[in-house]
Amino acid sequence: MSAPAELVELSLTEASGLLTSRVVSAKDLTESALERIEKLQAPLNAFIWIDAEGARRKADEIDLARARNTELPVLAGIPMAHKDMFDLGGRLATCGSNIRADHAPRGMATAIARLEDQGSITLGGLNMAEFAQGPTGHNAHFGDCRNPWSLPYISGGSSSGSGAAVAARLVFASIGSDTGGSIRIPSSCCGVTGLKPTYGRVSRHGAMPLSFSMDCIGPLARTAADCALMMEAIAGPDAQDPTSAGTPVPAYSRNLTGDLSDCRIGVPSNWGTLDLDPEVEAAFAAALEVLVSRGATLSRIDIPVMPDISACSAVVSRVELGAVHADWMRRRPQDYAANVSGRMYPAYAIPGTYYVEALRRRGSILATFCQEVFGKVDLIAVPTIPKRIPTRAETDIESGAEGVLERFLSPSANTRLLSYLGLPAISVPMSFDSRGLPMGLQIAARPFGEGRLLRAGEAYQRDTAWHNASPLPKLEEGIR
Amino acid sequence: MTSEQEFIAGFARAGLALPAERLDLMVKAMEGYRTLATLLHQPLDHAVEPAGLYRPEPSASDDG
Repeated sequence: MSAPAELVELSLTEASGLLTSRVVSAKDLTESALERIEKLQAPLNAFIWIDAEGARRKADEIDLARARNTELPVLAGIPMAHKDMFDLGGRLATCGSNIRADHAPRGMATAIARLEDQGSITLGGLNMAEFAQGPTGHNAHFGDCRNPWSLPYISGGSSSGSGAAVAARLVFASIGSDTGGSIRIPSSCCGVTGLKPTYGRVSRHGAMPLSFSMDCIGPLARTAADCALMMEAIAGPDAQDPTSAGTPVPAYSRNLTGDLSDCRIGVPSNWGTLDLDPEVEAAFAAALEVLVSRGATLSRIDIPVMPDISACSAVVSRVELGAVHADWMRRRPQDYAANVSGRMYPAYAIPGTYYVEALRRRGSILATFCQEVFGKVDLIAVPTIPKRIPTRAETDIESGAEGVLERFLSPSANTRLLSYLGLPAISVPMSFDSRGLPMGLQIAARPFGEGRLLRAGEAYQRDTAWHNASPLPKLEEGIR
Repeated sequence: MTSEQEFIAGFARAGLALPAERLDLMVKAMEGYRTLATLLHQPLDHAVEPAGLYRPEPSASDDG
């Protein structure tokens, strides 16, 4: 196999297998990816910058090492690109902003360093919401990232380029960040698999902070098995991030047994938004049946302390965001998009005592949540996004249209609650609506329950094919 | 003190200037947070997390 067209539909796991068995080379995969990027960057706007020469150089190094019979890690030679907010040893890290348009820090983010040390090839920096603020993929400075399934629709955010690039087969995997849903939302909108790990599971060193007590770094890829390989590479303690956890990293890939007979799944009777679109509701019901067919049991569950979680989450996220941006908000407020500074201004009028109260309550709220929920079930399942996804025009805050703020915020209604508690969650594709746009299933677990989440996602993907569906035929037809 | 006065005072403390045309909208947004934050006014044991420290812990009942 060497023709680029035949490489397009490989998952990361499949590509890794073909690299190891020398059926394809890193150069084959890289040239194939660069060819697709050249064709699809203009309509999708998934990349902020592209480093084709650097990628080719790295691919040649990997192929040379393999030719010398050097034993290489499973990710060696896999083309990737990451949300443009990580320190990359002198490469750009714009954070999707005008303020950092020329920012090229010398340091190296731990998560990306671990991937590159394994031989992954970084093709460039991916589009994102300005400073990771916003769940739709709008960006006033670099242009909106567009949904590969239908260009007028939102790609989801804030890791918008990650979702679009993985879905459009421009890269095999991507690292994003998730503070209120920024991995899970674009995963759902673009029809890919995304994992928000437990707070502290993956080092945040070298990553742009948004809300530093909620920020998580995690993978987006085609399948749960791909995400497992990514997590094995990036998870684990890091002396440069004191909040990283020392808990041993399991061999996630080896745990993908397809068996969910030890999984009690709770379907909440109360959550962010359970007023579901009928098409989302039907897809969700069908997804639950698949999980049950794999041995899981289902029950309804009442989620405790929901109002407390909403209140504390709102206070903590806003105040931390405001604190991180205070200096720029004083000196360069005009350099933010109006809707981005508008989300930060109210933070400066929230008293410090409220923030401390919200922090103090987190431990007891998490304990209550774990006791009352995870004492009864092992996993929680809800649709990642409760409604069919809107267009970019319908969610363009700058339009000032009636109800636009609610529409803009609506994609994160079911994701943000988990972030305050630091809980892990995965989003897997669970069907398409009648317009041909993806819908996602979100599953959450106990702290450090990533292994169970990946096992549930992979088991689900054994019996479904939503994750294999490709937007390329329709996309390429549309731009022809 | 009205919400608007309180908001302006908060800004002054942070050393920020808000464009006049955005004041009304931002005051309304801040009032929304204030409503949410009233939920924080429930009693809390003074010994609870006085340093604001928090770290999720793995559960023995999960297989990782």
